[in-house]
Amino acid sequence: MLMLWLPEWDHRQRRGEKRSILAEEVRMAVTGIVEDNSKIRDLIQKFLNMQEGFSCPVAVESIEEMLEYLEENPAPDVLLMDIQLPGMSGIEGMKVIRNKYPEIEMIMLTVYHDTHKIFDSLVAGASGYLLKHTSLPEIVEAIRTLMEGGAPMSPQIARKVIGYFNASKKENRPENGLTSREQDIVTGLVDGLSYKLIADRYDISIDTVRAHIRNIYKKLHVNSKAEVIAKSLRGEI
Amino acid sequence: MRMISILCPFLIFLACSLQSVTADAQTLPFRTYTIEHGLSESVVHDLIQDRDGYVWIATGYGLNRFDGHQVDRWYSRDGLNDDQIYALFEDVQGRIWIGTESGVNIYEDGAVRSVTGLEDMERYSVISILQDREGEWWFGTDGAGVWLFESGGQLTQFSTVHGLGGNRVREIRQDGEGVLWFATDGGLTGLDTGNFNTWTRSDGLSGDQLYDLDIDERNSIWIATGSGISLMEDGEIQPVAVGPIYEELPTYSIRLDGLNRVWAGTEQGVLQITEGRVESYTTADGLPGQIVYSVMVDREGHPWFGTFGGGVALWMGDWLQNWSVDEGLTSNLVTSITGDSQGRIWIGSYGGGVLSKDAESMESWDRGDGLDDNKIHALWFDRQERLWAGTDAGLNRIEGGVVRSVESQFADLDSVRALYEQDSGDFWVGTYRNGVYRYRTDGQRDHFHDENLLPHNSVVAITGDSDGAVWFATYGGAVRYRDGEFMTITVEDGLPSNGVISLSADHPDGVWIGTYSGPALYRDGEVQTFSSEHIYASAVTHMLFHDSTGVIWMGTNQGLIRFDPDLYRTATNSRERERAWRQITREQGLPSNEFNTGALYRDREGAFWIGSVEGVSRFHPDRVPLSESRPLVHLQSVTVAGEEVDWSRRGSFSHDRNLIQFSFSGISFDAPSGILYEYRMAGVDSDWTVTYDRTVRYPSLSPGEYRFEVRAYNSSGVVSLNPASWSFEIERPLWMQWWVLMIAGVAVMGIILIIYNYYRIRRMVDIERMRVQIASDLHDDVGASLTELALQTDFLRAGNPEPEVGETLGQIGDHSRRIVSALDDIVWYIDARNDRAGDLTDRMQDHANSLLTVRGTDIHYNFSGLDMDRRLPVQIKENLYLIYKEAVNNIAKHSDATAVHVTLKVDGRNFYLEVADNGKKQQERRRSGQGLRNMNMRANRMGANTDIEVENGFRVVVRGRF
Repeated sequence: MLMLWLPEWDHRQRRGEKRSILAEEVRMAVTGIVEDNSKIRDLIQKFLNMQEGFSCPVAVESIEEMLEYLEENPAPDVLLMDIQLPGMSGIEGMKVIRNKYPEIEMIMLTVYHDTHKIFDSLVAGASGYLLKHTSLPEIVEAIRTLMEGGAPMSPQIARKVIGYFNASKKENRPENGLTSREQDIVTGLVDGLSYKLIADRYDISIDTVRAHIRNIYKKLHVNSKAEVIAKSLRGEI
Repeated sequence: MRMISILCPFLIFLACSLQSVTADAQTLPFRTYTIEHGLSESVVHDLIQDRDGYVWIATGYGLNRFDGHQVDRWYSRDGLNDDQIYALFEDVQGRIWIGTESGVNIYEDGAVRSVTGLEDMERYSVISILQDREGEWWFGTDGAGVWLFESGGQLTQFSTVHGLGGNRVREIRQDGEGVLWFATDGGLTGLDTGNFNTWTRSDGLSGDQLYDLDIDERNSIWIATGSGISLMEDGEIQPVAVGPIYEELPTYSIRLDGLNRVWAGTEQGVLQITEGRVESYTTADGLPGQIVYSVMVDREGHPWFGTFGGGVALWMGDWLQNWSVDEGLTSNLVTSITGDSQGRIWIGSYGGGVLSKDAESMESWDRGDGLDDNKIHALWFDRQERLWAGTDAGLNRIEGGVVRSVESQFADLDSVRALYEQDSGDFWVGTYRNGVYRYRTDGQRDHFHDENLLPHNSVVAITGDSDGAVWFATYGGAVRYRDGEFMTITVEDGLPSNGVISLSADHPDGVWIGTYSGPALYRDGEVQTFSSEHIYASAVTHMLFHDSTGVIWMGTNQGLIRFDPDLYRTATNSRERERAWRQITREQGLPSNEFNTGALYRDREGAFWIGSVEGVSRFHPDRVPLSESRPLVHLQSVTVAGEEVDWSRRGSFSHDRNLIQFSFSGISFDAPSGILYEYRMAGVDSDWTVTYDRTVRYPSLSPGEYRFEVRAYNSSGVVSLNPASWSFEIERPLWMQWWVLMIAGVAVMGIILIIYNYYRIRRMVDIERMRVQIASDLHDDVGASLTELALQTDFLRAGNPEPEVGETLGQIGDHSRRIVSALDDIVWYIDARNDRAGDLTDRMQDHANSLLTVRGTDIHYNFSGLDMDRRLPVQIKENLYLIYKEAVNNIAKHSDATAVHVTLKVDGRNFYLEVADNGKKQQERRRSGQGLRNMNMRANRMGANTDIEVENGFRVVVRGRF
């Protein structure tokens, strides 16, 4: 069942495709922004539009506006989303968007380096997070990494991931359990190992580590049994 | 004062007339209790006194119990088999056995009940009861013989068939040798060792119909028969000589009083037989009924008589002799008494003129004999044995039985109230309206009145003291005349009243002055008064005299008052002072409680004659009965908040029922109204309180343990042996119970703690919230602006500016980001969700990763043994992080290290942080840079020690305790 969930990146990964090949094949990274601070929003949008291979056709103030946009326009590949927003909160909005447009990758933009909020957003559907004061080139780099199948995961997030899946086990949600390799990687992250050290420890490539991490994010996005059932009824599973 | 002087005679007269109108026949030394006093009926069949002192009265309708104050009554509706009660008996357990028209009842513990096993007797009238020394019961019936009720419950009837003299058995007694004696209607039957023997007229009995018997300590049997009294001594029966009348009449009852006197109730009054001398008392002597069915002698020695139709009478002794118009007086309002050398008594009365009497004869004089008026106020024998009589209309003299006219110098006197002749021969005449006159031996007359030397013109008594001074009782105070000088003693000197009406000047203590408000003593310029709880201490003292022992006697409007000044003087408390006073009233046989001013005379035998509104009485002060028997005292009722409670056992009442009233009664039939009570409430009163009331109220007792005690003193001052008492408790209200108080205390403390904690926590929360708010606001507003700034520089740099400009922009961006990062740290460590050890290590790793990993430095963390869920104090977390951050920044800035080792341990409350690298570029490090100083400062803030080495690589160790 989980297999059905794996995005195409993973299929490619399993097929042994190389990152460089993927990079060449990458199409224009279409990005959307939901950010209530108009200056930051405009700066990021302008900067992205200036980058080669990037476009940012939509930068709105709220989830509601983004949803309207998505109704009538093709979905972007990546959404940068603030958490504190007027109207629907970023975390709520992520859930809504992920349910409707599961193909959109979401990156949380946050002022706080607040692991709790970050983790909440990861569970809600984000595949990564960025501090707002991250420099614009770094933001572009992060989007690119994500598009290429990478995913950041800090030790504290990793620790929360372990706690989350342990709790899930206790609640008898085996469908969300981590595989042993995923478990290894998360443990490595908790120990503070870099992706490289983890890849060395387990004799795998950094890309594989990233792919595993992305998969762990996906698993996080199924929040409850009820949600699984809902997806199943909609024919998504 | 003048008002009183005018009104007083009128009031006295009015009181006298009322008294004479309402006075009943109780003029002789019998005290009577009738249905007016509460008896249920006037026919009295039997009388007994129980161990508690109560007198039980078997009447023709109902059973009565009397304590001297009130009568309790029981009828068939209260459980008696019949309302007709014949016989009473108190057994060794204190139960009262009651013989009725229909069998036997028992009174026990406040209730009357039937006796199991005696149902068969309900067909018979039980007229006599005895418990013999073996504890077995004998019941004499009216016509059905005698019944033996054995302790086993067996009931046996004995009658004439068995040898009983007759089947009507009126009395059963057991003598000292154990022989049972039955007074039957067929003679005297004795039961000795199983044999009935009967004595009849033929054996010397004065009659065969027997009514009663009593046995003295020599086993002599006094027998009341249908015709006189017989005495059985040593088996020989003799009639007792009681005079021809009584020898023919039935004697219904006979009792020995333990004082060698035999009292017998007969068809015509009572006989008293003392060593062969017989005295009779009939209705003429004050007995309330002629037929006397029963006689009983109480514990104080008073004989009681139960009469047919007249209730109960109590003989008060022969200490007092009384004469009234019934005995030949011309008037009962005796105002003056004197005596001549032959022992004749001369009596002046209000309206009855002058009367003289001796044991044999009486002679009287009135207006018809030449007296100015029949209203006599004063009599005086002068040294020539001439009787002077002061009347309401002048002065008269009786010589040789003839009323003579007085000398002209006396002729203008009108209402004469007092007469006195000095040893010098000077003769004083006190008047009601004109002061006092002195008739000197030289024939001159002096007149003293309120316009010269007297305080008042009413002079009602005159006497002389041993110093030769003359004393006058006036309505304006007491006046002394000595050596030609008058001295007046009034209320200003301490007299209870200016209305002085009696004097006694020959007492060793000084001059006693009787006023309208009690007595006073004058000596050497000092006036002393005497107090009592009883009203009689301030009674109208019509006459005042003393006996040979110095005891003061006062005839008042409250009876005769005996006052012992020595006892009063030596008393140390109010109760002992009360003992100095004693009241003798109609209860003790006085014909009246109202005496008349000046009607006092001491005869040659030392006896006093006193005049009252009911004639004249004579008594010897030393023969006034003083009961030495201890009174008994009982609680009568206890009411708590108005409800009567059972005081036979300990009581317990709620705190709001704390109004308690005690009624009690002392039993002394000597003088029931003269009983003095002392009570105290242990728990409230430290001392005894004295009262004559029989009720005490405690209006609002606070919760606690109490014991009420009361004891009684009889009129002679003898105290009861055991006080009556009752213990009870007023419960603490719920809110005063110890456990409630404790719970409440704990609750209050708890609430205080909760409130305290609530406010403390709220304050802390408020502070925390405020900090978070400040930090967040800083972060949001400042952080957002700085973020904008940083992004702006990024944007500008992306536009490829001049290298210098680009560098400047980069610096601006970096600064902005550093500030945002610092704000971020603040927000992190004040957030309570981030206070676990794991949060700290996460952030430590995060920081190192972002700074060092980027450079390719390997970081090795040693968090082994660290409990990631262990909570750390905010201050510790903050400072440890900042030290760590400083160290990592230091390494990142200045070190060429390729590996960094980070160790964090928390052991109990001890913590340990170590950051060490393997850098070689020591020389480039600033040994005491700002960073190192910051680390020391932060360590100090949390009371930790820092150890910084820069020799072999950079190494910071922080040890501390929280």
